[in-house]
Amino acid sequence: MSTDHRRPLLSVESISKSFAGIPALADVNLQIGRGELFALLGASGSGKTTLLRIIAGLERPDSGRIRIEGRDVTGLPAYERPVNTVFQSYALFPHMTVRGNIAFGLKQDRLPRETIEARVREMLELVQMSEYAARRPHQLSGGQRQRVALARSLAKLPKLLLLDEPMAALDRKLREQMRVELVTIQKRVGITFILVTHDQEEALSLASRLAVMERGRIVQVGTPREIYDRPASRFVASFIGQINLFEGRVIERAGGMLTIRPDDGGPDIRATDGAAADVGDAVAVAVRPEKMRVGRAGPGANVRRGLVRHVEFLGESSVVHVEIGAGPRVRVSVPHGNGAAMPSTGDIVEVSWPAEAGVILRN
Amino acid sequence: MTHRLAGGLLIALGLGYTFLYLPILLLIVFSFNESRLVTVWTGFSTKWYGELLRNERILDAAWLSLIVAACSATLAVAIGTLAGVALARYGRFRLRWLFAGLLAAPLIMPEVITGLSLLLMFVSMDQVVGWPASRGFGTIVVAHATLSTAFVAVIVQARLAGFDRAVEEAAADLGARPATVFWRITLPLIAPALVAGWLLAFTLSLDDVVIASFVAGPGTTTLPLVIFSSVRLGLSPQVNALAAIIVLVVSVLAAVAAWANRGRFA
Repeated sequence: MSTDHRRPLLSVESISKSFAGIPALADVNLQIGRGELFALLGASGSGKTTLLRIIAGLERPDSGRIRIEGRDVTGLPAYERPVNTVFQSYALFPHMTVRGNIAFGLKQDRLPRETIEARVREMLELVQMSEYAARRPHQLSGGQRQRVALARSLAKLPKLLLLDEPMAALDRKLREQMRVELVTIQKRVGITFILVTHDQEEALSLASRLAVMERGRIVQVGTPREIYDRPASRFVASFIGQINLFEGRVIERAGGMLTIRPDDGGPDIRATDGAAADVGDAVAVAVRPEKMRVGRAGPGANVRRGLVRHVEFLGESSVVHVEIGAGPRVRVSVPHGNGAAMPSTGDIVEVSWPAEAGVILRN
Repeated sequence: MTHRLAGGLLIALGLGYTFLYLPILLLIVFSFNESRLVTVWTGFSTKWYGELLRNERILDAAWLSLIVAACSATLAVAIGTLAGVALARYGRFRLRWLFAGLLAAPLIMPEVITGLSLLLMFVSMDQVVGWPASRGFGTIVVAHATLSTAFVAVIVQARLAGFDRAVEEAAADLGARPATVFWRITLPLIAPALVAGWLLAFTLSLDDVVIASFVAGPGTTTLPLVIFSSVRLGLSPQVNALAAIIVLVVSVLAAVAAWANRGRFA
């Protein structure tokens, strides 16, 4: 996949929007390159859907610009933008057949009938709905409706496809299947997708890059890996996946190694981190559960002793909840099947993690 | 509806329906009475139906009423739909409350007042702009449309409120201009409400006496006016026959309206 976000396909410049005086988006900037599958991730009310609607032209920003391939489209209504949307409710036309739905956008462009028919057939094949072409939306299942909605908005071969919580209405099994299919389809058509979701698992598994939104702002942009491994703030760290936080203060900085004295009075924590933190700063050390282990790690690792409160069985792994003195309750992910003994509730155990597993969070 | 009704409730229901529909049933029964006296049953006959069909005055009035009802219902649907769309789709525009209030006013305004005020307006309009030169067909159509526009607007608004706005947005997103969205998406989806509104407006016009008696002219007497005046001269069984036919027509229209608005696309 060619991802080039230096010459962006879409550029969102200083977009602000408020509804009845309540800010929904505050100075949002974002650049998305051709061929990306980009996710906007945030809780409900974070402004992600508003941003999507502004890109689609369904909502007008109070200030700021939207550019597509460098062209300013801020003033263009939805029907003149080279952008199509898959709505959360799918919004299929109930009085038209599947074929009629898919052909609708093409008819607006007054394409020749043969072209429309060929494109509709192609789209039906793309989403494997050919045999349902004559059905009405109410005769379809949720998953089938979603495919039709996808085909309908891809039919015009837009420069940009927007998807508003496309999986929200599907059950878990179907959702996982559709995720894989969505990526396959995106690769096949080569169109840039922007997906709005509140489901971090969905964003991490689908997106080539994602933006995390909180209260009308973009708080971090990066690849799923970057965001998972190097969250930029406490919010991102706790919103995406599980994380253990040790609050404390930097007492020493030497050779890329920080020493942090935790507020709970435990032993000092060592962490390698490029984050600009000076001696005396209040910080949190964030460690993912799967980067911790029960038992003593190699030399130089951080070690804390605690009481096992609960063991949560999750199939391929278990999460051990360990209470550390007056400190936080820590979650440690322990994979099954490598022969390691699983601690049980009531055990006193040691929990350890290497210095490079900790991420320093300043805000 | 598998809910079982207790005995007491069933009796109350029976009494209610009896009170509502027994008079109408009697009217239909007596329309087949052979006697000239409306209240004395002497035997079965359809002769009053035959006489009715030879009564030029009543047939003319019936024809006029049907045309007036059709025209005013069409006018009411056109205006009421636009008003309903404005209320349901244009958000909180300035003075929306006033617009909504004025639109709904005919629903609660006593018909006598509506009729009188329309009469005054037509008379002054004649003096100022020279139309309507005389009261008749045109004035009745306008007056009835005034009344039933409110009903259509309410029905259309309810229908619009009931369907997903995103459907219209999806059409715009796919390149349809606002006019195309209205004709190809909104209108087909609210069509059942338009049919229901039209039929309601039609029946409102068909049985209106009060407003018509104010705004009708000398040469244009609608059917309810004819019935009303002939009843004052003494009851003729012909009127029973006519009423029976009207009951039949109105029930059919009401049934069609209910069927049309039963929410197929919900």
